[in-house]
Amino acid sequence: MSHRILIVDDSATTRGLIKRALQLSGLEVAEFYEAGHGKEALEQLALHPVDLVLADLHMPVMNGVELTHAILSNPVTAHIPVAIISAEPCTNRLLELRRAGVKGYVRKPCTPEMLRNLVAPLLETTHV
Amino acid sequence: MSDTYTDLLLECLVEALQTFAFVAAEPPQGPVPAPAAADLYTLRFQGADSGELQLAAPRAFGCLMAANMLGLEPADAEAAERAQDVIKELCNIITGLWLSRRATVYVPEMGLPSASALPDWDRFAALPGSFTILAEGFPLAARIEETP
Repeated sequence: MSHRILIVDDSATTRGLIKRALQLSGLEVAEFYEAGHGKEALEQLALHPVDLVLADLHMPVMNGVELTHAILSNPVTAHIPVAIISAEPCTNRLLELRRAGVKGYVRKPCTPEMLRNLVAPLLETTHV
Repeated sequence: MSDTYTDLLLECLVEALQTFAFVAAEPPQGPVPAPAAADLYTLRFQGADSGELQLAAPRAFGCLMAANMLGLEPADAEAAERAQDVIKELCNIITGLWLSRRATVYVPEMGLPSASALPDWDRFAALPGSFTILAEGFPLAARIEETP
């Protein structure tokens, strides 16, 4: 079953790295969409149905937590799981992320296997 | 910076290279000649403890990393274009690992990495707390500058 994933990070190179790691992980992904920050991600979601949003925490314009709030407060997108991929140690913020509705979190550096372990269970819940 | 934190930085750098880029690192067996062209990458963190990660890397190493990680050839123009971004991402990972492994209750907030040309490699490599390793034959020098 192929999936559609939206990758949100302010670095185009990091988006490319995440995309490549997902490809190496063996997951079947039919379509990758990309956005440079939360607001762009919402614009992408208005155009394309996706099964999962993978977002960075720190981004200009709209960060990962604000993006999660926006996705979950819209009935059209509220079913889409959001997972955070960040280099920042989030031990102080795990509760905040959980309360915001974030469904998964993985710390960089993450291997393709780690990404698969994060993403596969979330994709099972929401295939478009 | 204490020797313990320097050792921890070395451990985080080696782990980040291995996990993030599948690049093995080793200590140099003698004096390391300065690379022809290198950049200094910095990433500030602020909180209960504040400071800055400083990482010096040859430009050619950035191209190799970008090529490895994005499935390109090192000579590709795109590898050169992405080289600095890849090393910035490496800085994010090293700093995140280093901060999380220090036994502090409140983890500082990380800023954004930046890059600039490094005019004098030898001077940077000789700064207090600085160490050099070899990654795929390329020298990398790193240190943490702690600020009050």
